[in-house]
Amino acid sequence: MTKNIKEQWRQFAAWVNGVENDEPVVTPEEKRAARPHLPGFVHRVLSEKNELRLYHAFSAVMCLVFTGTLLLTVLFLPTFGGAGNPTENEVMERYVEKGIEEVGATNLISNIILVYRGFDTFGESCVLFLAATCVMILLRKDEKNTTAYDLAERAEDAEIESEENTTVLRSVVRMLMPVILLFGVYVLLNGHLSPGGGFSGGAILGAGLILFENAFGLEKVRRFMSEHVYHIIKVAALYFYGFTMIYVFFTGANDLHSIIGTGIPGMIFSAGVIMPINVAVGLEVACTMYAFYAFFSKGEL
Amino acid sequence: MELFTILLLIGLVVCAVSASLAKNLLNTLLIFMAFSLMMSMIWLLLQAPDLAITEAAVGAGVDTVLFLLTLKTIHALKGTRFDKGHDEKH
Amino acid sequence: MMLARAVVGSVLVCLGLVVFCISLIGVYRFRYVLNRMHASALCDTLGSLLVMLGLAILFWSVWVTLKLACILAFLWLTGPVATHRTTKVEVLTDEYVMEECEVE
Repeated sequence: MTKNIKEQWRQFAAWVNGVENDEPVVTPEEKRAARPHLPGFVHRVLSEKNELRLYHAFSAVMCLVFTGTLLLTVLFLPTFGGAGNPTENEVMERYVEKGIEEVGATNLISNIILVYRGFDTFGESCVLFLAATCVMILLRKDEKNTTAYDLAERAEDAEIESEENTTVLRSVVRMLMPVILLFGVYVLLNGHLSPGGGFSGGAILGAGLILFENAFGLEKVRRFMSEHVYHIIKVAALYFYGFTMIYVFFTGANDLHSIIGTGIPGMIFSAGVIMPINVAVGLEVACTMYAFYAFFSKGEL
Repeated sequence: MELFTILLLIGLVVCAVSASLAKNLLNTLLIFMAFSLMMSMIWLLLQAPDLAITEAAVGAGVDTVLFLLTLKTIHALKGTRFDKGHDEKH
Repeated sequence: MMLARAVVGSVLVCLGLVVFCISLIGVYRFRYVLNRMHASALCDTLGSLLVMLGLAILFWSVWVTLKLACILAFLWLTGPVATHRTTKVEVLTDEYVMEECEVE
């Protein structure tokens, strides 16, 4: 009886809402088929709404447990800046006092991340390279994974872009582009003297390239930044980085004389390997940023 | 300066909470961008200009563009022609 | 001289902040997108001009003024273009834009 009233009410609500073909009646068997991941007895205990509620409650409990654990850990951390902390040891003093003398860069951060902790940074760069390669594999669009729907959508995009009048954007980008690229190159080359370095400079260069693509379209960028050039830069930069680091590790570990000197701290050609490595990392990051953008928006470079 | 840092930190917490509570994905994205900008200012106040440059360029600039493109690709931008709900062809 | 500079600079910075507040209120109070863009474009140009001018007078040094001029040039080049592009998208995609723009 109640079911009948409910059914009538549902039809009435559908009529009020203007839905002509109201939704088909779902039998329990169909419901079970719609939730195949649950065993049979769960359906008797849990309605669909309650299942959702259970998920919400469970996720809230998980969140609370994790947050509580992390906050508990914070309670047992040593106090910030305390004298007996494990971070207050001779390693930090050595970095600060001997860093400029031993490595030659006035920017201590790049001393630490590229030379003292060069091994970690090299691993990070390899992880970045791997991630970029995976994104390329996933997002590449060619004949095999392009549907007619994708093609229609892309054609629509191209039509809208060709109709658009971008005179204002283009003239401003033409003015700003050299400045942005110059600033990126400055941050790259001055990584061992002032704040900045490979990653920051590369990000600025990549953002500039994305702006350029937005204003002038993919065809103009392809003149100097095709997929072929991208592969060459990516692989060459990583190879250069790898071989330089191998040389530095080898001479450093075996206490051999290295041909790379430290130079005079504060000059542009100083600090040995830091500036070339910064340039390599920056080029790789810039190309990866732009390639991510191109693959996400167009599916090709 | 102390007061400014505290204000920024409060704004950071507000942004983080509201980014996870926002219903619209585009709003989440914009709030996340504001979070990145505040974070870069805090890095600058903590005397880490290297991180501040990177956070401003990557967090506020490139990340936002990539997230926007992701939303476009998965047809999650409501009320545009990329919205799946409005789409008859698919 | 020092005092006058400090007073003029602070007044200019405060005026800039007032402009920022007005445009913020405008963004919240206006209903339609184009009106909101109009309000938000205000702080890009006038607000940043007043703040930079005030800072230049406060610091009173050639190099600081040059740097501030560079920042201002960048903001003045990019801000209006961003506003223009966003507004263009709204005009292109909104079917009922003419009804909203009707002058009574």
